[in-house]
Amino acid sequence: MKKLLIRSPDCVPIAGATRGAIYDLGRRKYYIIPNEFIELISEKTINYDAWLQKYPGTEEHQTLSSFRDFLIQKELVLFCSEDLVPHIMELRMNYDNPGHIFNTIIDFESWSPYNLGQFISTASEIGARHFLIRSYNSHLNEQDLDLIYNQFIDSPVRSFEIIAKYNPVLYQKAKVTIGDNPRCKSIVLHSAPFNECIHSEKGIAMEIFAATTQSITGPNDCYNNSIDYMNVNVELFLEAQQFHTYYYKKVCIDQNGLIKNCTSHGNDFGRFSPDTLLAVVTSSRFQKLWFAKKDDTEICRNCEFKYMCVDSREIFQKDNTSWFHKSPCNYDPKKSLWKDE
Amino acid sequence: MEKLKQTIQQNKFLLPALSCFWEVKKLPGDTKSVVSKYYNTSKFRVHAAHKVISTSVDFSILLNK
Repeated sequence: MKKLLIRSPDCVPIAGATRGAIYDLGRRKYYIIPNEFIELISEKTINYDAWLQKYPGTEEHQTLSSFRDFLIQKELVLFCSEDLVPHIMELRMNYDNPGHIFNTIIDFESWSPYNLGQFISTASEIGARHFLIRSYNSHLNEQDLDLIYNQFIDSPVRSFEIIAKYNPVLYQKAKVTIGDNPRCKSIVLHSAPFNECIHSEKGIAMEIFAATTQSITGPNDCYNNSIDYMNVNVELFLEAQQFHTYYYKKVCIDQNGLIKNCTSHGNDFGRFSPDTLLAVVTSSRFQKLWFAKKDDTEICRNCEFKYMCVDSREIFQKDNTSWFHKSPCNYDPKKSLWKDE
Repeated sequence: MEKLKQTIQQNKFLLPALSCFWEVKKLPGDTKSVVSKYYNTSKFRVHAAHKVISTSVDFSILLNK
């Protein structure tokens, strides 16, 4: 039986403006390759003879042979009997997520006019499973940290992270206690006099404790997208086909208790109340940004990172068609360069 | 093929042809590997989101300690 070379269904070639990427969704890796190679593997079946015909010449054939060897070595392709090829299913692009919301950002200061515990319990009741609690200026103390920890005891929440302003007391307390609550995935103290990053792993739980000299004075300081934040996995990839990966099923509350899509946005959806949160997040006005997928967004649609990126920049729509960002990205797909690179 | 060769020559990540298949950079230093592990390992996936909630932390500052 003739053996054919088949591209693995979970290895997806994505063309960019100047270069492309192969997403290995199963192994959560990616490989940057020239766009011309993307074209060669766009079909399910790899037709090596067609490659050789398209690019005649000894030197070209050596390059193509190397590329094929690379695909085989990284198991991005597989050899398959001809009769079995029809049975290799393409990746289904459907994505859904239970719950009205999925993740939450809470900007909280000691003077904030809303009840933190009430917001966390209300949000978790309507589906939120991952929380980020940020404090920009308040010097949270040990009791504040305990208060936050206690909100997640016996709750359906799967993880929470804390970003707070450094102070020596909080530093000592957080460093010692981070491992005590398996739901707490990270604590980062900003505006610290030094940089420190400790990673610990207990069983299947893992935590990061960090102090950083970075100063986070408000939500506008929170766009630090970089190659370190790129993340390849099948859930994110599928979500990005239909939705905006940052805004989709996210609800945020700012320091003043106002419900927003993102705390850096000027517009809000009213003051938080346990009775109204569900109505707000299920409204079409609130959900409008959820559907701003990368393929409908200028510049992003031509980026090789578009299905592995979680981008918090503010967006707007023109003429009910394309979406645009209000500020530039840290990556320029036309130059294939990250900011400061 | 000329275009293909030009692409390889112009892109600093893609030289020479054999090394053009640039795997995710092996992240130097403890912090970066922690970041990479934190957001990419299956262990993290078991308990937390499949994506970051925000990009608040500038990891490049932590790296330059």
